[in-house]
Amino acid sequence: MKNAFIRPIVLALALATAACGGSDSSTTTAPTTASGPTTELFEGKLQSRGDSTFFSFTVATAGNVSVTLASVTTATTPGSSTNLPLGVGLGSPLATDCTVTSQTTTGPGLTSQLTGSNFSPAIYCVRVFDVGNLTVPINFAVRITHT
Amino acid sequence: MRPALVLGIVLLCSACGSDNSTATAPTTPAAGPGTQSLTAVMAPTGSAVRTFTASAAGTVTVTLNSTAPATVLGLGIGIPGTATGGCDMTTTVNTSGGSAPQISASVDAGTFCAGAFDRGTVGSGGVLVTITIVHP
Repeated sequence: MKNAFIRPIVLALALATAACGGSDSSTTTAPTTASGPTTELFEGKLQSRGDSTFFSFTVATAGNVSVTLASVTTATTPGSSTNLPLGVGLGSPLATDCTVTSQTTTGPGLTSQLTGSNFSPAIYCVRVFDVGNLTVPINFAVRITHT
Repeated sequence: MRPALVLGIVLLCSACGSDNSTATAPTTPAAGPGTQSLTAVMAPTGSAVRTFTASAAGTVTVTLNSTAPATVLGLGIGIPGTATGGCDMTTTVNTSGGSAPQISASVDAGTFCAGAFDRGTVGSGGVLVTITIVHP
């Protein structure tokens, strides 16, 4: 009599274990986080009148590019900013140079001074150059935000 | 069906009830407008800089609240880099501090830095500075 009562319970529990086992073996998918724009820092020096330099970066997925000339300082007054306008250009590398397709002359700021949309995945470059104002060497910093 | 088997199935359904639990999505701290402060003892030729993140475009104000002893210092705002205290300065002023912001700057969303630096006036004992940054 005792066995007749227990046997169905054991059977039911065995079924239960089998039924529940499926969920334990399921694969958990980690939440994914969408990647945002990439920010790069381009720091450099312009030594004398007419000097220029450039920085190359890679756009991984189609999107916008924004360029911010964020800092211009002189070596004679370390840390102190100057509002000396510089040329800032955006373009594509060609051999060992940077061929600029858009440019502006601007002083330093914390909002982008040069932006472009619909950049295809490729290598691009930012050029910083003197527009004729340079009388002493300067240090600059440019923030480039791209996809 | 025997009562014992029914009881077993009831137990089974009860055991599997955890499938109905509500999953809690991971939360990410949201960036937003805020006020950052910095209190530091700055050595001669030194700097005291703090990095902050603007969650949206807007206006940032930087206030050198006080210096002890009273001293004129450079105060600036810029982007993280390799210059003054790890901050490439965009705008700088010379100030001895006060309650009103000495710098107000428009910014895009992103990471920035602000702080004070010695202009050659800080004595060997250093200077205690208190800076407040208000950002979008």
